Amino acid sequence: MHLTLRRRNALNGFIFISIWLVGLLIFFLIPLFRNFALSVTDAQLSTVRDGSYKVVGLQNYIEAFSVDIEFLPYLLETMQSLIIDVPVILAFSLAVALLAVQPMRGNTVFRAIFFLPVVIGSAVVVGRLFDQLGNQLVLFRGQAAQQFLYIYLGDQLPYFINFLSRSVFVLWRSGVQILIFIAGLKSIDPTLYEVAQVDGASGWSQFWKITLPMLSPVILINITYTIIDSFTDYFNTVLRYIQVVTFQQNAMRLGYPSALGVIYFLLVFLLVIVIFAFVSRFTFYRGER
Amino acid sequence: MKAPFTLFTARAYLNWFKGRRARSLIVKIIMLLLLVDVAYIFVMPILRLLSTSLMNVMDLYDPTVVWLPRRWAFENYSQAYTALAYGEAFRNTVLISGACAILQTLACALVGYGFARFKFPGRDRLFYLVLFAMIVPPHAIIIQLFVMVSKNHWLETYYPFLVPSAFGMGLRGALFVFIYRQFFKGLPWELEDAAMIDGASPLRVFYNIMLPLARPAILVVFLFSFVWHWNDSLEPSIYLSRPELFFMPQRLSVVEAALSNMRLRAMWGTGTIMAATLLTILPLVVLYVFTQRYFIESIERTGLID
Repeated sequence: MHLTLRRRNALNGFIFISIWLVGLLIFFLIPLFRNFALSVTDAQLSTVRDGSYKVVGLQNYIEAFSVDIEFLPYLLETMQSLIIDVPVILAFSLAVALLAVQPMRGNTVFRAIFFLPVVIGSAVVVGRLFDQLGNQLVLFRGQAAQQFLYIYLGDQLPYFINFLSRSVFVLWRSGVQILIFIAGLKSIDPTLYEVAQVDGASGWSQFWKITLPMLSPVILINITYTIIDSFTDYFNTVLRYIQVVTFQQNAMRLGYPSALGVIYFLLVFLLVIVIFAFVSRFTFYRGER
Repeated sequence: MKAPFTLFTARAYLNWFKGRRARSLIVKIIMLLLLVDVAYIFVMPILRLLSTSLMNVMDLYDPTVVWLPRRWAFENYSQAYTALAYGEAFRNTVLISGACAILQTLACALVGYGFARFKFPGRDRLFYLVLFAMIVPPHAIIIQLFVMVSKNHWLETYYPFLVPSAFGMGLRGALFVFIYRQFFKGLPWELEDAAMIDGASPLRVFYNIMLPLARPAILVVFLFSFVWHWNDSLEPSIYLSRPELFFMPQRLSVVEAALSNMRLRAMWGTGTIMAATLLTILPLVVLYVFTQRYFIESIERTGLID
């Protein structure tokens, strides 16, 4: 068979991605589609095998928002913590990355430490760390320190301790982001800084006028990563709830949790797209203009 | 003087202060302190874990014992080792995480190469599917996967982990495809052109030229995949229910659940759970210590950022 170069090239490309296409179809697209289909039925594990379930329309969705007293609070909680966590994680990881790229001895050691949570940050393990140790995790654990703080904070003390534990938890989730920022910072052309210096720009304005714009695509990546990460997190209450509804309640209802999954997925999808559209207006790519 | 925020551009800063070594020294010390502070936040939970894992019940409830236990309770570790069935769990986890990681590393490399270096109709739209697959939470499809797996009689086997990995899917497969694609995109075209002119087939070009060059990307993907499979608890908890098949984090959950019985906990203490937790992550820490240099260098060089 005779093919032009372009055709042959296209064919080869398809061959390379073919295994993935098959996998995508079997392990992703079909399940996703079936999930949509199942979410409008009253299927249970026993009925899904022989197909003797019936379509109930949007009833599952209505139930999620009107009957279920747990789902909506979990959803709101997730959104709430996302709104707080994402900026904190981004600001923290950017600050740490800026510190870590400074020419200094022992830099590599710090970088290795910052990445540690990614490696051992297994859900179960981190869960142990933070559940078990409880408020021991607070940076100052001693009684004296707590007494001292009590003088100032009074009854607010538990909230404060809670806040600190939570911030440790949040910071522990920023390992990947720190690393991505470090890589981004390193890719900025140093001559830009030299030029700015010659023109007498202060470090402050160099940060706002060079570092931040050059870093904007990386910031977009990091925002997206952080959102996805916290939406698929083991500790995410919505996901846990879906899992409980599916696998631990005795009837093994499948239709209803499917609907919950769909609602959740649509929410994530919408949010990512909105943020992408919004943030990409402020990103600057070097190739352009 | 416009100085305080020059932390952000130390290069500029250091030039500015050339000849004023004392001041630059102070800045350096402040930066070092900040870094040590942050590093402390990252290391502290692990140190706390280590310290608690060596405490017996007496020490745990004694407020005067802060970091160092009065009596080193090494028996926590032997108890944890037995409770975890460590040998068996270790073997399961290493074998399956390793196999999945190898399969994913290879399959995703092929796919990423296909996306990066060939032009075919619909390529960019298909690549949007990669991104799409990346952001769909696994819970949106896990019920269907469960139904599929149980129809295939794959429950209580390792196939549900191995087969998707072989197809470049599996745990965060889309992310790995994305990493490879970014990496291969950055390589010069002349390499392939030269080999093609010499008559090499695309598969041969891929195997003999591109793969050896892709070592940093391979390393990153393999390690990420290994670590994430090791740490995953969602899929194993759904597909596996026989304890002898369990992976380490699942065993840990079992031990944990058993110890939520208060009387047992009073006997064994939190120390045992902490020791078990430490034993679970120990292999990863060892792996990381040996590979972290390449790991971090590779991430910086993969062009993850583009």
